[in-house]
Amino acid sequence: MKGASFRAVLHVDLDAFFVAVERVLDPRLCGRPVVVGASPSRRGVVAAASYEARAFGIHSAMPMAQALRLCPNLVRVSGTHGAYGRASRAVFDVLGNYTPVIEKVSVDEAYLDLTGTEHLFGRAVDAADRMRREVRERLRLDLTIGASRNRLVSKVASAFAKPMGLFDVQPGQEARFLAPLPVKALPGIGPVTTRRLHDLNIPRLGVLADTEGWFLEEIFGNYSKPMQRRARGEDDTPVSPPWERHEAKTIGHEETFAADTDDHAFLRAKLRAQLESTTRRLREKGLLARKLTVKLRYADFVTESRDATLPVATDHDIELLQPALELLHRMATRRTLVRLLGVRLGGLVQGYWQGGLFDPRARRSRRLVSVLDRVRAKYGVQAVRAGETVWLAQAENRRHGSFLG
Amino acid sequence: MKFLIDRLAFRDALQRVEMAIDRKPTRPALGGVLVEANNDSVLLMASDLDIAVRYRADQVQVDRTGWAVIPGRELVEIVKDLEAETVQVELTEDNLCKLSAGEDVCRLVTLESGEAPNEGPESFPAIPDLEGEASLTIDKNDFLLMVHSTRFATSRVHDSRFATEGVLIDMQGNEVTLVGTDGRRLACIRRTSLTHQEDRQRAVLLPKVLDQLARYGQDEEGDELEVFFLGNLIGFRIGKLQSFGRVLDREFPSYDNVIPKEGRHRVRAHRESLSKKLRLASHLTQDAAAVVRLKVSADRMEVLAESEGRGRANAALEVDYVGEGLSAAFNPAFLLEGLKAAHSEQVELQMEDANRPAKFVLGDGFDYVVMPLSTAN
Repeated sequence: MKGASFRAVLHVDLDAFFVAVERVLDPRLCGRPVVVGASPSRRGVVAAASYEARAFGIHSAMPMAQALRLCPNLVRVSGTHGAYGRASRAVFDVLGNYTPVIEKVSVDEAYLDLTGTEHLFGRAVDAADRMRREVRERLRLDLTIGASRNRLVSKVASAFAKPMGLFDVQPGQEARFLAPLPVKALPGIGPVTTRRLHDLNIPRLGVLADTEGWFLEEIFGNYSKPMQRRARGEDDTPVSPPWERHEAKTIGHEETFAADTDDHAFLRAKLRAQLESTTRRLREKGLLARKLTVKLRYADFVTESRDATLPVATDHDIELLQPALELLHRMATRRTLVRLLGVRLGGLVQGYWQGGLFDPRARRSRRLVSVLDRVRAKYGVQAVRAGETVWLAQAENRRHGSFLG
Repeated sequence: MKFLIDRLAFRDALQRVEMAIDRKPTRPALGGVLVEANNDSVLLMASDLDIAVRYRADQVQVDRTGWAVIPGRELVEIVKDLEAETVQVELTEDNLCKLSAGEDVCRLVTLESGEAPNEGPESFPAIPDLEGEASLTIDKNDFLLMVHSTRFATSRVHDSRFATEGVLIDMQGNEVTLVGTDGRRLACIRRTSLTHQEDRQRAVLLPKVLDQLARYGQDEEGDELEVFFLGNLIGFRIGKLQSFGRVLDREFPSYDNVIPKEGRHRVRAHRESLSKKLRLASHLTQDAAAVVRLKVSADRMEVLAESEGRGRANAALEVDYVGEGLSAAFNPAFLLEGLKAAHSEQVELQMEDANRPAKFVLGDGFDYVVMPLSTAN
């Protein structure tokens, strides 16, 4: 059978997903510039923008205040996260009827491997078209799909087809499809590489693909070969469904504060609360961490992070608190307000916690942690708090209280 | 200085001081060997300030007394590679140390040298000469066995609170105790000394000097080992070998409290077969966080391991046990290392419950305590 030896990979993207869901819930939003995100008084940023809003230059991650300045008629919706999760599951249920090999990248984006489904659904592009119609009819949501024989080209194709489109790159045509596109269209080529390629007079992927290998190697080193292969549309990364994927390599938590702060007691309490929640996730998964990273972003967006390797793997927040505070202390040297604080645990291994012989206190606090986990599982995370974080909750309630008037 | 020495005797003597030659000396003399020719013998000395060794070489014929500090590594390697039966060592007028063996001649630049034996070098650290009565005398083989039984359990990383990278020597009356621990397991062995000691003496030693003794002590003449407490140093003497180790001044954890006196569960197992089963099961553990579970029921022990994505192991062996059963998780490396150091055919596990320290009796007076892995969740 012709073409059967080629893989068929789709990249599926839900158009302006959060906005589309809000429009399903409230059809009055249709046709108007809409953004989803928290209010400017809570220093919200744009989580999603409708195509009408994007026409004003609004894009996601833009501060809400700026978005409102760009478009005074903008309609802001705070967003209902539960609804997005339900909508996303409904879409994936539909997609799951076409193939079990789905790699979900986020709530609104996925790769599908349709290799071997020709007998059931015909060509991949026809199956993709049926998917789009089915999701449109059943859920009133729009899909954009890129189809080709690999992930990379399908991803570029769907970006090319947006919005509400379908683009199929025939096997063998990958390089010709990519050639006229700007280099920054290729996933993996960021602003820095783009600038360097422009400096070398390589504005388009076709030029990049045809450039002499030795020349690129001089400048980009080992990275040049895979970059050129990708510029020709060659990619054999498999689509990995969840059961084939490895567990998360790190677990973390970070938070942008409602107001920038230089209050060390506040940062300390936040760090502790973040460690509590990340280690609880570790314990739920039966993992231990060897590496700890603390990240700090100042009001002027200067971002720093420091990491430490622990002598023994642990899933115990009290053991992590001291090293984390030391990292924070070493890092927080600027006399600038702090905007964001985060912790991340890495070097994760499956295993049990190894207690020490000479600190019975650690063993006792270990028992305490397991009791706290049970209490929180039953009565909620807020049911028990460390003394240090109690006032944090009070302070936050006050702040929210004043906001609500 | 001028002397003639049997090459093999010279080589062996240099090997004994080799461990004390500083590989990255902070000052040149620490990378050197002090060679001192007296009327009837040649003394070799080296020190890296953590350990020091003084060794008296025999089979020499001294023509002219004197001393020289000679670059250590070069001297050791050259004497190893010379071929003649004897080596002539001579300090030349231009302060070179000339080594002649048969047709071959090497001249080494000395770091410092002199003729009069009383005026030692200025740059070289002073190494005491162990004379008179030792603080303690103990059977050499006993002591080397004690080192073997505790050295492996010491910590490989620096702990700011406890000096766990060292080995504790604790002696009182006729009893000598050596303890090694890394905070998660602890090896403790007791022996009787040949002499009596009134006051209690304790010191934590860098393990390097014990390694040196373990390596060369066996070959030394004599069955006795003498220990000298010298303040911030401990000296050991076996025959012609004198080794010194720096005492760590940080605290050692109070080991007595963590050794369980007795346990509700007592399991006796054959050492070899327990080792074998543990090794078998440990093939299916994950390196970074290896876990084996010991499950004991009447007269039977199961060793269980599981590695996600690779498989699981279930090994079983016969044991002596009466009770309601026990199940505890351990780091298999800790158990295997302990069993490797064991000296008895049978070993005994004593344990109160799965979350408290387990004691393994691995020989006469040899206790090994291991903290089990927590299964609280």
